[in-house]
Amino acid sequence: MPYINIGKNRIFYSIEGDEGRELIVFINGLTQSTGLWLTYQEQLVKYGYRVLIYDMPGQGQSSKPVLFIPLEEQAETFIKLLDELKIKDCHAAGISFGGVVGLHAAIRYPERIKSLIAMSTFSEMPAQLEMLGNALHSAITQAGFPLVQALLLPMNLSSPWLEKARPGIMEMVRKGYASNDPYAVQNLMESFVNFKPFTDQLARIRCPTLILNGEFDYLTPRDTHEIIRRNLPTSRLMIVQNGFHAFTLEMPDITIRIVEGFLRCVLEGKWKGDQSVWVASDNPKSEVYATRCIGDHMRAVFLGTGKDKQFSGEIEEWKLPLPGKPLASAPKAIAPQKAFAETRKQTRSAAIKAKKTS
Amino acid sequence: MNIEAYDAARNAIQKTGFTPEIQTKISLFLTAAKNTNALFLGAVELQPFAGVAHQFLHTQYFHEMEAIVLLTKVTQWASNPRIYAEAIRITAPIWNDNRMVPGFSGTNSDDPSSFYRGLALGHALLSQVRLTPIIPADQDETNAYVVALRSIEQDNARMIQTQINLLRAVSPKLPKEDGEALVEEKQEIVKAAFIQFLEWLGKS
Repeated sequence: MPYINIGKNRIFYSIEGDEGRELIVFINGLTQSTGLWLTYQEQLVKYGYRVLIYDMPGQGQSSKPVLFIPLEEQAETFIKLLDELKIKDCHAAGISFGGVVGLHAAIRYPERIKSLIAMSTFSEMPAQLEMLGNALHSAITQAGFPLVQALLLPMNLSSPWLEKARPGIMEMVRKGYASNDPYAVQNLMESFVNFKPFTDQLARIRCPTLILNGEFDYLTPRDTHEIIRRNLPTSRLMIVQNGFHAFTLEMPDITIRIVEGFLRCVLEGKWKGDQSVWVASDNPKSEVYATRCIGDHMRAVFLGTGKDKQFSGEIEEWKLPLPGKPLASAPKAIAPQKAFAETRKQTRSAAIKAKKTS
Repeated sequence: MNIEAYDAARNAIQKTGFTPEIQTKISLFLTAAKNTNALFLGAVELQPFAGVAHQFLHTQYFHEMEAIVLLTKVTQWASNPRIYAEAIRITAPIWNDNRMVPGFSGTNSDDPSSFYRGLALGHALLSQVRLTPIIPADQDETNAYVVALRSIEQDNARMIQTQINLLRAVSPKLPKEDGEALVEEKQEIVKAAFIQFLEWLGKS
């Protein structure tokens, strides 16, 4: 397995694809390791790219600095890894913690990052994220890493995925606990103690940037991505339908399609960084890559507005008088059983009528 | 950590359950780890200072003692003397490292790194010795021995906070890099012994 020494840290990495191809680097989330990107590496190499994955200090098979892992050094390590591998520049894709590292790198080393995909991430910590982070930290210090795992799984993944994975979840958790060094994960968490918001520096990013946010991301919800979108002029925000925080794990096919589509746009010179908002197609085999988001993308419920031409005149409106207005007819005082029988009678006759019509 | 060694140990236990032989192997290793840390903590008890750090180490000393007593009570000890002999061999590097901590083992307490070394060894013991991944998924969770293992592990996660915070805060006139190197050295010693222990368990 390839390792490179960067400073006092031994970094584990894997690079696939021929030299000379466009290179994309994937940067892990907090408790992730390179193993989670293997499908991405395999597919994107098939599509003609070169793919580099690596474990940050404190993760997977890389060194575990025991006491200190400054957050700022993670971007430097990333760039030094490129230096060691004689890579001039690259496309970068980072998720969550790795998204922060990717954004830091694009700000501080603009000449090295040709394009960026920032997934499930943030440039400042709204109160909810900060408090969730504190809660996870309390979990690891007061009850250990297994509790963090138990919390992160349902926080970051959807019920259908968890249901499907249920038979293997205990083993997955066991392996995660055995292979991670909990103190190193704690160190990574604590590297956020001195986290400095960097929203005001986002405008320094000049490369095309695709911001990806899972539709139902609980840990880093829409607002953290919206902050990045508003402050990053070369960006577009894309919402991943039904995606949770770890959508890269849940829906690799869709995410690979999004990543490849983005790289294609950038390389063909067709990227428009206009801060627009899009919804990714949920069919990775469809030529429809994404549709423009209509309505208020900050809302959890879809709101069709009068400006949406395709919906004008088609939205059914359910109208009811305001409270306090007199009822249209006087209420009939009927016994509950009778009301139930009445409702059933009406439902049945409506069903018969519908059957006759069809 | 070595997943293959963990898997082999878990598979061995899955076949036979927590037999007296397996329990003895685990308890001998675990008590060696706890005793080694307790020796340092016990030495700190005798140091002429009192403060928050002392309080945390004092509490940990008694927690380690509790864990040892718990294991002594729940373990079904095997009578095979070869198990005890092998346990001594496997845990020797950990015991051996204990000589480097200050206190009644006679090292020079003027050495600015001696207190740091003791903390670092405790950190390595509490972080590297993780036994819950050897418990099979279909294991009866009410089994007294399993309950004890889980309880000790959870306590370790809490206790190690003392080492983490003191290793960062203590200023033993050691440059940061030297401190890191010392801690890493202890990690490697304990990790090597622990992997050997898991492999031994896998052959049960």
